[in-house]
Amino acid sequence: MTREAESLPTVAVRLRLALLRGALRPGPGSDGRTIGFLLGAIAGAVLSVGALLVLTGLRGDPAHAEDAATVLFTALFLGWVILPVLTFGSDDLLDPSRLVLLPLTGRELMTVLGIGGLVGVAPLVTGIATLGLVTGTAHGPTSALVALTSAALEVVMCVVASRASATALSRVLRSRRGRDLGVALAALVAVSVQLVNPVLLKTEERGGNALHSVASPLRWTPPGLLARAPGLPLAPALLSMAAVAAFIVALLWWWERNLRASSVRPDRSTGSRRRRAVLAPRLVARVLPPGRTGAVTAKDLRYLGRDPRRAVAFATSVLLPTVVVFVSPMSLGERPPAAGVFLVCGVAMLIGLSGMNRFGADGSATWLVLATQTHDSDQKRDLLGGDVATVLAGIPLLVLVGAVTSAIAGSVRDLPAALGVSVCLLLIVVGGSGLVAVLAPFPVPRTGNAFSTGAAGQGCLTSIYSLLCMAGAAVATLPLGLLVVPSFFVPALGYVLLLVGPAYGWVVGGLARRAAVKRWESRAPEILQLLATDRT
Amino acid sequence: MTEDTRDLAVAIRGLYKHFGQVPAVNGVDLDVRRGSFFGLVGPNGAGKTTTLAMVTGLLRPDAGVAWVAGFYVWSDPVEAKRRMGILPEGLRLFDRLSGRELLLFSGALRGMDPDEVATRADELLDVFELREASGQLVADYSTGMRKKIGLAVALLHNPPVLFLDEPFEAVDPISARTIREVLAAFTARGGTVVFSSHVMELVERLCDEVAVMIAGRIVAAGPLGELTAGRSLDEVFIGLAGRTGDRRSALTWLDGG
Repeated sequence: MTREAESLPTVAVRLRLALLRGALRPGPGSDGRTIGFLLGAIAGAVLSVGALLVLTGLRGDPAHAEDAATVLFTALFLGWVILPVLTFGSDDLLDPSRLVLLPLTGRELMTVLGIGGLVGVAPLVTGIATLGLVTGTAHGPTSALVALTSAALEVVMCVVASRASATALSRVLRSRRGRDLGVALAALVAVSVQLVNPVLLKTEERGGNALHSVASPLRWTPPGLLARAPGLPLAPALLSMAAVAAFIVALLWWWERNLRASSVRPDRSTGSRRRRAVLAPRLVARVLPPGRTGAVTAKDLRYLGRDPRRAVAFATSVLLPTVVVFVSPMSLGERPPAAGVFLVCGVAMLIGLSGMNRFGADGSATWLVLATQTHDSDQKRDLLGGDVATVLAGIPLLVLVGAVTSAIAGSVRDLPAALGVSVCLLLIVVGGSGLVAVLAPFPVPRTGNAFSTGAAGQGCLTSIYSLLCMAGAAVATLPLGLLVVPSFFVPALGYVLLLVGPAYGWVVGGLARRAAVKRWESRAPEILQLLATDRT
Repeated sequence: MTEDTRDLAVAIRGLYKHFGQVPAVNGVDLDVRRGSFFGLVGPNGAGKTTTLAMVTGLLRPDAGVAWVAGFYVWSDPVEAKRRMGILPEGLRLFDRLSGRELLLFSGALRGMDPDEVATRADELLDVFELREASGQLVADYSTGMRKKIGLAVALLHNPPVLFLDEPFEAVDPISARTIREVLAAFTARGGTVVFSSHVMELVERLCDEVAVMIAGRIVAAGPLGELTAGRSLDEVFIGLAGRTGDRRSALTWLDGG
């Protein structure tokens, strides 16, 4: 019966393959997982082969090839370091505490985690992409050998760095607040890509070399050193690689230290903070509507601060239009457009839409809302309460963004008109978002990838409805345009807009809300059933 | 409405619910006296949760009616929901609120007086030994603490009828004892408790009336003493479920090494 004990690296590889197979095994909910895995694999294949081809294509242009390789190597490295924060809990070989019960020494544990990390889709993708260094920048056999070694070092460095960061963060990531941080971070990464993109595009448009401006500060980082090594004479190339090898050894040392510490220290507790917690601070409570409406408002405002997804969504609504209209031209030394203050209209619509899947965001907890509908028109209070929360949080932001942007653009006299129109839009879209929330709610997964927002089809339907909602709001607001254009010449009209806009928006938004309430009254149990997929 | 349904805490007639082709609840009739401690027992998947969800207005039945404290659940939900407290199984709570905030929130949702809600909330937190954790987010609570805060939410408005779905599932012994004591006091003062469980010993110890549910139907119901007639509820249940044979003579090689 007894067999020769297998060597630890073999065990690690087999464990890794078994975990991969297990993730693809048919079972409840496995369809989504399999599709996700396949999509990930396809995306990985496209990206890695794409990177390989791009680098190969740049062969005749060493300067560009080197810049491209630098950016690629750095992006891969950062991706690997951030990866554990995003996928913690979904990858069993990332969390050292999963293996801590096995009789393994620190070194052996590192072998299992490290070798295991070299098997899988991500390392394969990384490996293929880094081969671009050989095909793109190598000139001659020595240089090719340097490139090949550099590529291998890059893969090893990525794996070691990701394991080390996972171990360092494992205590934090195992707590709820740590996972919240992960969700927020993931969303911020997604947003910052959108923020950087327009700036780079503009640079290219104006004849600049975006690639070079990104690559040049990265040249002295470990990935940058590796990417440039094939282009250097042999001695400096060897020196670069030796420096990176030293960096990897330092990472290994840091990893081992943390590994030893993590197996003796307990998880960071998420202890209590306040003793006499109240639903809303006294100052806020004063402006809240009474009763059920105010309760829903207070809860939503609390969630805005405590639910990372909502906080990030809200912050994005403000940042995205601001960056596109203001920050990106200014970072290129251009004057922001004079009518730029009207970007608050875009901010208003995005903020208004934040409630478009409000019941999905609450998930099955919505049962409490249903169970307490104990007065006539409580359904109206449910929707109104959420709308009031969005408006209460949104208006100060609109005023702030409007004041700052109009001051920068030198168009303060347009501020009242811009605020009047934007508050009008906010009120209409908020009401419409309630209608989207009851027409096309979709469950939001609690665990796993922060980018996935639920069933693809459902989320799609919600997007269509929310686009319709924004378009409808824009059309409904057109009559105000009759006042906006003259207000450029007669500033006093701006103040008229400041009064008329909110009043008009309140009426139109109220019509949308009335339709939403009818639907919520008749379909609440069905909506709850749809959302109850997050059963514990 | 007939005379007898008005006097009952809960009355269910002809309740049906299908999920796709599968009948989850297949024609349930049930009467629960006021002031009784009523246990709905059955194996996992028998339809207990689905039945309770339909009686409490959280799930629309395909057919059938239910009264709670004399009010039609589905045609007069406002009056019926005022008279019931619910502890669902498997559904989340608003867990980004702290325990105390959750109680204040549910009181405000019911339109109760804020000062009264605050007083009751603090008393409930004390009784359920959650005072220390009252400022902690419910997301950070243990399973037992979640059941207790959920029960506190269900009791806050002093409802005549309580529906509790698996209130003792995965609860530590100390929390379970607290829950038992609070429920015993509640029924002693005239409240009605309807709770579901698949733990026979628990039902036997707590309940005065029992209904056995198997595969979407009530197969037996009545006062505990009449139903068991000297046997244990476990034996009665196994008999009803049609499980036979003694496995004590099997696996003879399993001799403890």
